[in-house]
Amino acid sequence: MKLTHDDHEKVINTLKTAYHDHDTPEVNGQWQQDVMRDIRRLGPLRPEVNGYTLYAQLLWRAVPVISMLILIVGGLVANLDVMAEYELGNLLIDDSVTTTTIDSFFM
Amino acid sequence: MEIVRRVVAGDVNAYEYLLTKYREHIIHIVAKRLPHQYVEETAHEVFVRAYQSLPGFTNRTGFKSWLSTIAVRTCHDFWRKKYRSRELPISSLSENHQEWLQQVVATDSAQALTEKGRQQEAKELLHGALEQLSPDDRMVLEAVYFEERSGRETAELLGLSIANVKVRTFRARNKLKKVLNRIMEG
Repeated sequence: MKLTHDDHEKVINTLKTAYHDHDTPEVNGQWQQDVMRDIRRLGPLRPEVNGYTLYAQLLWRAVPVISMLILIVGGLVANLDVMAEYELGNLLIDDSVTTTTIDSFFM
Repeated sequence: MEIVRRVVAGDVNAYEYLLTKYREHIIHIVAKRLPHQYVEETAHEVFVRAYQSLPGFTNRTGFKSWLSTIAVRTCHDFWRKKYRSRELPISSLSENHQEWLQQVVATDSAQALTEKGRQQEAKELLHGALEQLSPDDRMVLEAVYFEERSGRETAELLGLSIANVKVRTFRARNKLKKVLNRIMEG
């Protein structure tokens, strides 16, 4: 005889009652002492250093170095830009080839 | 929370307060899931694990809930270890269990269970049937069917995805049905 869906539900519900109907053993003082003995054997805990905390600590230490680097690199970049504009201006003003070609039309 | 902070800061003895406060709760959780003779030993392991995990405690769900999750997962690990070396417990189920099952099907379930001397058979049948399932299926089934937890709660409790819980619940339920059918057929 196989269980029908309803039979199965009925059995599950009955087993659910049995699942919750259990004896909880009484633990004595000796059990608690044994647990604490093992805990003491493990020793004091150390706060967990997670990835974020480590990152934040390193970041603060690196702030002066990073600031200096930003200033140096910023200065260099600004200087490079000025130089590039200066060179471009020179090319336009002192373009001897263009001048020669234009001049040839008027001659 | 202050006690937890003290323990994490290195006050080992402060842990005894947490042990005293929550031991009954943890024993209750473990006793529901494991055979009587393994309850004390496993509850002991739960408190040792909790102590070691305390630096990672974030108080997102509260200490009691966090500790309960450790207890359930420790029971899960217990069944995983047992599963590797288990005997077939179905052979230990006698004709009495078969009769009990037939009686439940034939009559009112509550009446069958509360009848004198029948509770023990129900418990033995429950353990015998659950032992036929894999540890994962067993834990999911216990959480969803016997403790009536939601899929989300079960997923958080066992560290599984919600989809995984749904699939396992369906599968475990079918397996349990097959096991009960086998017992019915003798």
